[in-house]
Amino acid sequence: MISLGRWQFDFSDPWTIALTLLLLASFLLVLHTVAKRLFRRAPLRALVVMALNTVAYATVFLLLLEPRFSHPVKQSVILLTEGAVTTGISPTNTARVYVAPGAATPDREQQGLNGANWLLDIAQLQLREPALSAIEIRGYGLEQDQWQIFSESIQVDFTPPDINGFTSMRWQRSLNEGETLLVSGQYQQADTETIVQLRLLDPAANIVDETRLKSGQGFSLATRVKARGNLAYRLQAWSSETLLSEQTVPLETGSGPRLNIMIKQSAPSFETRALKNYAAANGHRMRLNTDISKGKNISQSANLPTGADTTFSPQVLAKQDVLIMDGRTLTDSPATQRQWLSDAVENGLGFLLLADSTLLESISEFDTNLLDGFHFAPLSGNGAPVIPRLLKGYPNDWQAPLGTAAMQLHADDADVLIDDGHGRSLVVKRAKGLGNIGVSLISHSHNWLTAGQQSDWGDYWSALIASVARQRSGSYLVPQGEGHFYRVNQRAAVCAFMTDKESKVVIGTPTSQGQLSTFELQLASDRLGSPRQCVYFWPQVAGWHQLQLVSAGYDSILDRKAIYVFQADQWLTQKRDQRVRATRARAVNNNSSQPDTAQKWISEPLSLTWLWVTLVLSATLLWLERKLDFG
Amino acid sequence: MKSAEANREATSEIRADVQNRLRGWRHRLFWHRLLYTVAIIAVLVLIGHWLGTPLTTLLQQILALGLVSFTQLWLSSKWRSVNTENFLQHLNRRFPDFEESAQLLVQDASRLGSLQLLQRDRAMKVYQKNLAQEERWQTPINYRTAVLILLSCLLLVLLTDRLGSLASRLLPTGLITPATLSVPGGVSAINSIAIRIEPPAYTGLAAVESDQLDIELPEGSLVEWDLTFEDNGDVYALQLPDDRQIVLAAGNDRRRHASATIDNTGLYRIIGTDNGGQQTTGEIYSLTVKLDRAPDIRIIEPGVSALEIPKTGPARFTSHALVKDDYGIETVEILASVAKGSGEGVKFRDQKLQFDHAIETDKGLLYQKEWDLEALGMEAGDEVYFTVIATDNRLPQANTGRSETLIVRWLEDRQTGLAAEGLAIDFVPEFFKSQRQIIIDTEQLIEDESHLPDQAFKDRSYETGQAQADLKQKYGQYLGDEFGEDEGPEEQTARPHEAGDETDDGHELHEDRAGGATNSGNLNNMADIVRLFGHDHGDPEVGPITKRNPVALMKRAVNEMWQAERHLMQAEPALALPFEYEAYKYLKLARQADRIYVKRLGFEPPPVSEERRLSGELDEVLSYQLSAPEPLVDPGGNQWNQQLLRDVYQLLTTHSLYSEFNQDQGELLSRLSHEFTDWSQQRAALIRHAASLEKLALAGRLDPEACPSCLKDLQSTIWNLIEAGSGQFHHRNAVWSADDSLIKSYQHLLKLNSGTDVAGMATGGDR
Repeated sequence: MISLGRWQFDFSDPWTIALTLLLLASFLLVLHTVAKRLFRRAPLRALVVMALNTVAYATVFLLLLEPRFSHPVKQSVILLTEGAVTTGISPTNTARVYVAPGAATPDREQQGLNGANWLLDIAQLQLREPALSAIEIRGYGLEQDQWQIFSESIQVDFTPPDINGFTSMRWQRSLNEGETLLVSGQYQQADTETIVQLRLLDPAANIVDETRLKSGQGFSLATRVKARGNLAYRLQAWSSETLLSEQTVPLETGSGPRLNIMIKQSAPSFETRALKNYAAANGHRMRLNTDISKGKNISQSANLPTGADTTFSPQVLAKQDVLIMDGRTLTDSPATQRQWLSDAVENGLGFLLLADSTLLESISEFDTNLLDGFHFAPLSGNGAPVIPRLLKGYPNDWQAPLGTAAMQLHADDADVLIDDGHGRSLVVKRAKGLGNIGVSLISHSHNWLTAGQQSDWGDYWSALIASVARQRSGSYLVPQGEGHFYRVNQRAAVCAFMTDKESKVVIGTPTSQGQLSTFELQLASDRLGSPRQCVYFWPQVAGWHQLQLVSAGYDSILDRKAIYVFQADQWLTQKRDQRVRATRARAVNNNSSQPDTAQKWISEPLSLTWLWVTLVLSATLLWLERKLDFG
Repeated sequence: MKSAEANREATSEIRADVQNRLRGWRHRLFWHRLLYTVAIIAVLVLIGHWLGTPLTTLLQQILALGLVSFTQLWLSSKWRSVNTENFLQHLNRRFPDFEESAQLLVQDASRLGSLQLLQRDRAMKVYQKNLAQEERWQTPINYRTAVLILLSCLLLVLLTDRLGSLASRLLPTGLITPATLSVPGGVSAINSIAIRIEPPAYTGLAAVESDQLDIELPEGSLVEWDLTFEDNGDVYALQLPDDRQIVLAAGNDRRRHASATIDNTGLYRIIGTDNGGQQTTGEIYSLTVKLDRAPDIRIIEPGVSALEIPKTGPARFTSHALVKDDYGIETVEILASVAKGSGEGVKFRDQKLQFDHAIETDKGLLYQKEWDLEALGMEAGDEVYFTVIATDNRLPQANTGRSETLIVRWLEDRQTGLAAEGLAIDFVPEFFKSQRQIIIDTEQLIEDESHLPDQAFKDRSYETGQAQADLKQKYGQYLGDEFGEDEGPEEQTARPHEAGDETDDGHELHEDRAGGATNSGNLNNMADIVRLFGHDHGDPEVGPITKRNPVALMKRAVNEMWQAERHLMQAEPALALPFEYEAYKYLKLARQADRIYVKRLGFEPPPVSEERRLSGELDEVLSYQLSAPEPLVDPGGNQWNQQLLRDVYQLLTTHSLYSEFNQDQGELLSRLSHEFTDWSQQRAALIRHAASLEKLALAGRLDPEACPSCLKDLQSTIWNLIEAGSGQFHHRNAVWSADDSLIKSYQHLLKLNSGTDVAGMATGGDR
């Protein structure tokens, strides 16, 4: 690019240089011919013809090079975004009006938006307004990724309208049957004093939880999910007898893969008996080794083929997800078995130790590093029953006390899963290698079962096993985030954690008639080749979409998941709130860094119309000169 | 002239003959094209078979191929060149004897010169000589290739049928593929429906006519189906819920008629049998039977369960009983049992009594009887227990209803006593009201408060409070001395965690046996002593587990009864009601807890004699293995039913519309349909959902047309039948792969540094 003052010429293309040289040679030749033909006969005419030729060649030259002219400008625009009031808006001398995509429906065009410029994509704004220096946002603003395309030097003026509805919504999009659904968020409304009643309805329209709050207050509604499938709960906001808002809360529930659980104990116990019965009834593969006399034991198994190996061996341990053992079994076991156990834990096994007094007495004699990091001490007094408190996940309302081992437990760099509400750790988990070791002081959880509190008992063991069990390896679809919404006509990202690089995602999308059409997409990894790979698609229809992660040869389905795609008008206030937050953040950042008097130098191309007119006129005159050459 | 005429005729004949031959030629072209088209279609069908192409798609492809093939033939030069001129030219090329003169054959002889006529005659002879044999001038057509293709395709189809289609071999099972639409088999369309439901005569209900095949009817109704079918040829029958098949008798004008008496709720369907004996099953319809209920009897007066009559009398009282029934009351009588004497000498005398008269009210028939105890042969100290028994007019077997039993005691002496908190009581009856009955009485009392005189209100509240005290005492006796009449509610509430405090309970048992009286403040010391010198009876692994927690819950119930009783005694039934409900709740929980127990471990040692048990010999103790390959769920039990409901709910909410069910899914729906049919005998509304499930199973896919608007109802019903479960076991997703080289290096590092704790780096997972 060559600049001559405010003019800029582009000679980067070799063909341009060649054509320019050719044009120059031709021009000189023409001048020579004209001079030869006319100069002696009619010198004035010769000069005129030469001037016309010069003009004609100059226009051709300019048309060829398309030079640009720089000049300073300052331009403000009014940008109408979704939710903007469109009446009474007209362009001014200093600010043109633009309508962002989705901000107004075509029928609004008749409501005073005839002078506005309609954008098909927000990126068009900077192309159409190269001198853009300030934007006045009307409506709820733009989304975070839309703001990323604008230069930071652009001033943003934003005063958002009120939001009336649910915002900052979060809930689990995927749960296991029996777990607790926790729906949290805020309800915003203009009248901050009115009490709003929020109701959570289950798929059969029964109210399962409700609360009352004022505008802007956070809420949290919870219910235990009792069935598997693609469920659609509903969240309603009521003021007196008026329904203010109703939104769908979809989630997918499943049963999860079956676990391999092994129990090794020094004596029969109701604790493990109840656990075995429950796990076996729910399809988990159980192995139970119980010592009945010196060197004699009973091996029990459930949901395993007859004759399945139930011995305590490295091969069996490698296949287990959880091993549960009482303290006496651990202290009585030979060193080789403790070494097998240690190796298995380092390779991913989850080990849950039910602490007892034997463990406390023998811990100092341990010649293995299995329990390194755990510290046990006698408890002053006896192990009186305590009411446990689950510290992770949804706070459970456990009320019945349980007996515990009479000892104090703490561990270095560990998670306390359950305590007694007064600072005494009851269940502690610590990572070791690829696996986890959990130690529990609770020895009588089955009392909850006998008291009819099966759900508490289930929650307790579910939390323990989820924390300790071997983590699921292999390929799987990454669960949707709790605050993430898939929407129609918006890019939807589906990611998977992959061990097989060639796997694909088969997406089943509902048609408008309710049938399912499928297509497949190849997962793409990042440049580092990380195991997290993603595909992107643009859903066209709202509703449940089925995702299947299939191996490259279609010989197996590695994982399944369902995602719910919302209509554009569902959870609208949630979307608006996100846009308001993004636009506010942009406005705040901008105002602090840039002065308001920003003006821009822009370079614009010459108007080609006048060049063509000039060329045609000069060429016409030259043609006439030759045609009428009667002299 | 004749010669000219003959020439004209000959020319006409030749022309007609040429046209015939041209037509034949075109036919040959047509059949030739058809053969090759069929061969190509065969290839297409073969490929479609391998790829599992849906039938409709295949038919569309065949149609398109045929259309293109024959349009191309019609437009082709091969077809258009079949005309007289080219045909004659072809003859010239084929038969040199024509000497390039075949065209003369179709020309008008009158316009020909003599030489041309001569040549024409020669050509005529050649024509007649050669054209009789078609193979001499017809172009040979190659049929072999097409036939070979056809036969090959047939062979391949037969072979690959055994191997399965290519699609089924390539695509994994369970992958979602676009649904193929197929229409389920069904009987001929029904043009008109006329159903007549004639309830049993005893009901007094008029016959009802309907045009819906889903029928609601009173028990024992005679149903007459009068159906007109589209098709007249088949034999139709009704398949009723009790597996009866009733043939629809043919009538005039394609009308069919059948009738049956229906006693049970169930599903039925229409079965058609064609002339070939082929049976087709039609839609499923429901028969919702409204059962004739037994008479409902409510004793209005006396308003209490136990009526005491003072010794001094008068030994008279009035009783009112409100009796109502669905269709009519046949008999109402009183079964009275008079008890005389006490202890071992008690004697009973049963007798049936009649009410004096009955009045018809809006709520039913109100029966009244004036009782004279002396007329019954009673004297002070005797009791009479009476029950009202009513039978309805149901035929052939009448329903019988019984009221609750009321006790009337003619008191011998005035009895007084003191209850808790110093409140005076007159008499403590032996009869115990249930907690539920106490709640009902209290609610009734609250309702009647505005109507009753003040004293009457207080008396009734007091009586209810007395009933509450009796019940409390009953449970107190069961629970032990510490819950007797001497202990106030304050002591109860001072021990809030008793419900789950097994250790304490265990100690109480221990103390009871030892005969000691230890207060709760000494329990810790007691526990220490037990831990030091003996085994802990409170340990759930040793102690009788089923008796602890129900007891603790009942203690809570008794605690609530204390409060309820206090308020009732003070004529505050509204304040007493919440405590009554609490007590009721804990009693229910206690009953449930009583039922719930943890089965003993699989190891059940055989009975061992004292000699052997004390010998210490362990030689005969052997290791052994027990395995249970199947989940421990009883078929037909509650857990099994819950599992079925959950499975079906999952199927209905995740299966895409119009996608076909596999065999297991179809069976799942049918199983639940059968369960619903069974349950509908008590809950008739479920039969509608049983029909919906059966329709879906029959349609073979989640078809909204097969079950319009029923899907949502069905899902809601199943959801409401599913009981809340508890947390399931699962593990979290790892964010690392065991095959990852980094993880392998890390594991190697762990082995090298086995004494060093470097854990925790790789185990942060997400769910």
